[in-house]
Amino acid sequence: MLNGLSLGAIYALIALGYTMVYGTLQLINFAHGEVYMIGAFASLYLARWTGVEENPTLPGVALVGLGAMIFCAALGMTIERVAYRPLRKSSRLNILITAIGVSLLLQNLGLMMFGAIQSFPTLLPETQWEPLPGLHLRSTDVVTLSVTLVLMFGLHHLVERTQFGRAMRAVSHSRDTAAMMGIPVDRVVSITFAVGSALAAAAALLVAMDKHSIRPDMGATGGLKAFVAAVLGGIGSIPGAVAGGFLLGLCETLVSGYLASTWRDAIAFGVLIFILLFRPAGLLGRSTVEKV
Amino acid sequence: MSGTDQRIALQITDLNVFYGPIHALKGVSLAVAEGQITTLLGANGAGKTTLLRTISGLNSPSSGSIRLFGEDLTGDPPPARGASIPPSLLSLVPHRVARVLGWVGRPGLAPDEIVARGISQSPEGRQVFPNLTVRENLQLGAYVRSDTAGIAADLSRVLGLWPRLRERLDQLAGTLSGGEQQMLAIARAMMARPKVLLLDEPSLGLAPVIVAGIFETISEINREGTTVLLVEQNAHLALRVATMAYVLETGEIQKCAPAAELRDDPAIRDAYLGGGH
Repeated sequence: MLNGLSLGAIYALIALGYTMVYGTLQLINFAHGEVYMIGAFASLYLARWTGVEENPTLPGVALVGLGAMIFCAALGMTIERVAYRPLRKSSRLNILITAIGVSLLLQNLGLMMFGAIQSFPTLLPETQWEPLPGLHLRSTDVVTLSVTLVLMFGLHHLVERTQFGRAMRAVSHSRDTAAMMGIPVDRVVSITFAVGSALAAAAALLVAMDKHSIRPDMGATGGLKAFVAAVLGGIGSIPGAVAGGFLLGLCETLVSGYLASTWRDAIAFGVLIFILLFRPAGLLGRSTVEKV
Repeated sequence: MSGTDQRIALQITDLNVFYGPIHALKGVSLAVAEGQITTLLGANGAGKTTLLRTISGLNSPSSGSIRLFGEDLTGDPPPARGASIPPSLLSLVPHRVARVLGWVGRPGLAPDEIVARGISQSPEGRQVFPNLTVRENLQLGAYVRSDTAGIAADLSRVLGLWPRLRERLDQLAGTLSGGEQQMLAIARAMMARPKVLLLDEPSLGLAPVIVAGIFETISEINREGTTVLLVEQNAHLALRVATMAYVLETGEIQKCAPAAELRDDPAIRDAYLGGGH
């Protein structure tokens, strides 16, 4: 149960990046999964260079995470600036194809630079408790869940309580109207990419610490699942991404636990198709109503 | 309101705007005098909204100028040397580099800079942010400002003008009626504390009694010192509140006269007022 929640937390963190970018630009940023993958490798190399790998401490790990988040934020902003902004006025199909291109480019760069699978060091002590008979708690799950909760509350505050968050929601409704109000749309879009990418980097570090192995193609599967989670919850909706992430994580874990792990992905996508049949806009997606 | 010593707040000179191959504005010139309501009349598709979008910096003119109290808001036309460079490549090059290479001219002000200079707009179709509360919509109207005390004062001022909005401050804007959304759209534009307020068809799709109330408030805002450029299809009402009037037809200014004069102009009456009024 708890590892279902922590898997869901990871999906939710990555899904937030998809949904926020979709919300502001109506673009499915296929390169987002690769940003997540690079976040994992950035964590690995940062841990190595700073010596956190040899003698891991909690502040050290936090700093590695922060560094990876900043690195990925910069990467996300660069991708937006170089690949998407020049096409802002082109058709959606062109931008979509560009997004797939950026994704393939980053994935293959990752293969060239990082090689194949790499092992990720143990950075935090791992223990298991059994506070109640039959209930196993793993420390990595607890860490994953608590970090995710902190990040989600931070994001919630940013989006709901700050002027930047209001601007982001305004841009997601209409870029032109937002610009008329004096909102610097390009900057808002850029920061949206930065925030989404930073969340993906955090997710990557959490996964790497749990699984102890990272690979250049982890963005393809992880990204796809998170994308499914975002669509499941209603793409463009932030609470939807969170709900979709947890739902998908729980589904997968229950299926692996009670049926067979080979059925996991089939069930995940089955759930997606099933829900979209009945709610095409996703669980929490809005179909907009305009009043004239 | 004597015309002679009136300062010009907004001066538009020989403005040309293209949408792809379509010549949407053909050498439009127009002056908005400080402290007055100037109205721009015209049918659907005449180019009224295009003009307002261009003033707000959302469209770039191919030539002509827009000046706010003498300051030019538009950029220089692109130099011939830049014409052969594909725009998507151009947008990859940092602007300063492109200017040194002579690929682009001096840029026009960005929309947020224009709002900061003192031009704000209530757009066509109101365009309130439906998923934000009334309060958040108003806060966004003041996005370019940082004077907290002044923003608070302006908030209570617009809520004084429209008590209906005060009752609905924490309601989502999407749940408001059409008339309330129009009030919110104007109030939101007022939150920028504009020198010139642009209003794009505030009467659109609203019941006559509600429109009358909105026009009364527009007059009141103007009496309190805000210069207004009012774009309307409803010539009857617009001519009643405005001092000067322009008529735009298929991208060209056809007429420019004091509003009182156009009220009695049979051609205008036939074209825009309809027999019923």
